Formats: sequence, C-alpha cells, structure tokens
Amino acid sequence: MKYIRQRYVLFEILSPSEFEKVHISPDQIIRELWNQVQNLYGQKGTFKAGLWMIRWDPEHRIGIIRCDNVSKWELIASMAFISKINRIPVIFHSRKTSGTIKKTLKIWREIFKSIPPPRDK
Amino acid sequence: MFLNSFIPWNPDVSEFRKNLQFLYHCGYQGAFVNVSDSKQYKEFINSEFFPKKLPEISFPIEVSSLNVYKKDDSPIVLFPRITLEPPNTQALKQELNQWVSRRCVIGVQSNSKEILEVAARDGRVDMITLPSLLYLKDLSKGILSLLKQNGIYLDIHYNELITSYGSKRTRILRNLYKLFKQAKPFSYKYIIGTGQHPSKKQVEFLRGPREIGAILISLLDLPEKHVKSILRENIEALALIFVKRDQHVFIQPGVEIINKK
Repeated sequence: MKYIRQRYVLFEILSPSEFEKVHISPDQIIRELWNQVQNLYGQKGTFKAGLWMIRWDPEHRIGIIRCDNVSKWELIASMAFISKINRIPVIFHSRKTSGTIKKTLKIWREIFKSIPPPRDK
Repeated sequence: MFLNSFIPWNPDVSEFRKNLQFLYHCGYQGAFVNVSDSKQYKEFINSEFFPKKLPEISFPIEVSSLNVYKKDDSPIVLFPRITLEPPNTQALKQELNQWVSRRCVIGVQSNSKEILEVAARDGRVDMITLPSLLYLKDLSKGILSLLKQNGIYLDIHYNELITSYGSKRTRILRNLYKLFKQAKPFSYKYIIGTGQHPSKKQVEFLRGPREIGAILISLLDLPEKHVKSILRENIEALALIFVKRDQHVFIQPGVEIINKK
C-alpha cells in the first residue's frame, strides 16, 4: 500500500497580452510557489505539500505540479495569491487535478489540444 | 454555472472585452457588471454586451435560461447591477425609488450601521456589499439577523485579499474567518466577486472560482459543500431573480407566473 498519495495539478499561467511572450522558467515558478506556500502555511505545510514540477510547456505556459493529496487545496490557494513572477504580472489558473500522470496528460491533450513536452531527465 | 458577482463596467469597450475574455479563461460563465450611475447604466444597457430588447424565454425558468441573455460579442452572460452608496437613509430611499424600476440588481454599500439596517429591512435591496474586508464591525448581529430573515445576499469582494500583503492580509483573513463563524454559510447567502480596484489594470486581480474556492476551503476551513453554494448556487439564484424580474413573471412576493402558455 502506498503511504503517501500524490495529486497532479494541471495549471496554466495567464498574463496580459504585452507580457505573453516573456519567458518564464519552471524554476522561477516552483520557487515562487514554495515561497507562497511557506508564507501562508509555514514550513510544516511546505514540507508536507512536497511540491515538484512534473512538466512545463513554456510556449503555451501550461504545466503539471505534483503535491500531496491532503495539500491539494493549499497549493491551489497559494497559486491564487501569486500575482507576479519576475515582475511579470501573472494569473495562475488550475484546470484539473488527477491522481495519475497518465490521466493528467490525457486531460492536457483534451483541454489544450497540444502535446505535452517530454519529461526532463 | 460560476458567476462573478462584481466586475466594474469599463466604457473602453476593447479593455472591457479583454476583461471578459480573462474571466472566461478563468472559468466563469457569467458576471454581474457594476454600473456606478445612470450614465454608465445607459451605456451598458445600450452596449452590445446586453440584449436591448427583452429576450424570449422558455418556461420553466431555470439555470439554463440565463444563457438567453448572452450576446455574441461577449464570451459570458452579463447582468447589470448597481451599488448604491447613500450618505444617509433618506438618500437611500430616494435612490431605491429611482433604481427599482430599472433592469438591474440593487446592492447597498455603506459604513453606517443605520443605513445598513434600513437596507436590510427593505425588500427592494437584493444584496449588501461589504465596503472593506478590513473593518467588519459595522456588520452587527442585528443586521446579520435581518439579512437572514429577508433573504438578502451578502456580497464579498476578494481583490483586497489578493492585493494585500503581510499583516493586512492576516487581518482580512481573520475578519473573514470571524464572519464565517458568526454568520455560517449554510444559513446566510454569500456571493463572491472581484470588486473594484483603484488601479485600472483590473485584469491582474481576477482569480478563477477554483482558486477562490481553494482559499475558502484551506484557509478559512469551510466545507466544500458550502463553498459550492457560495460560488455557484447562491449567485445562480440571484441571477434567476433578476431574470424573473426582467421577464415580469413576479406578481407579488411568493406569487409568480410559472408558465405563460
């Protein structure tokens, strides 16, 4: 039996048109999320969440983040409080949450009609 | 159907259309557009975002009927609303007399307990808007009780929460937490909207219903069932009240036409 169950949150980043083509790296996103989760829920909430960027498509600004199943809402709430990454105004919009990567990728293909990038090794 | 209870009307049509696109992308299917005066009301009613003639509706009136008000130029359904900010109770009554015959939902926003009490007793008022989440002391037990009795909606704007930092955010969250403990969401009708921000870049403060729901669940400890009613069911009911009033199916309180055929 698995002792920690994971959730995969499919999200996209929206920003005003003048900032649409500015590059946002996955490191910047995960750092901002870690800071925000720590700000709201403290270190306990942060280590329990176990955030990890699974996929990131910089062109369409779509990504998948892995977290603990009990920290799903904490992660999405933290996303709501992020309004800027590297001085670029952004809106995080979580689209769907799933329990497996396979299902999340399937939802990605269905919703965004684009092919998810391969996983970094 | 997720509806935003407050987005400000922008006379700049292209900017307003951009805001609507963002709202649609964030997951809303509708919104109440706030007009500040008669001039803005006329602008919105005569714009391409709202049907000029009364749209034909099929009975029985239900949530899917709201889509009749959707225009091709807008990705979401829009309904007008006015937020009255009267200086005293006399002015409130005068303004209510003026606005009650118009095609809009009426909200009252004030810091005065006296005005809020009169508004909570008045059947013409649809919702009470909280002017600031930082000071909720004016919302006394008596006013809350009147809101519950008369079925008046309590409108909360989240942009202050999103834009605040540090201790200010903590105080807002504490106030909201206290409010939800005092007036529990299963007996009070809460609705949530973006709200007005002094900055013109309204787009940056929009958040989707899923994100707002996550804040209510994880930070304010509300059960998912109540969050769904705040974000979806209550606001749908308010939109249906508007549609029924607009279609002239209300005869008296408690008496309405359920089928015109």
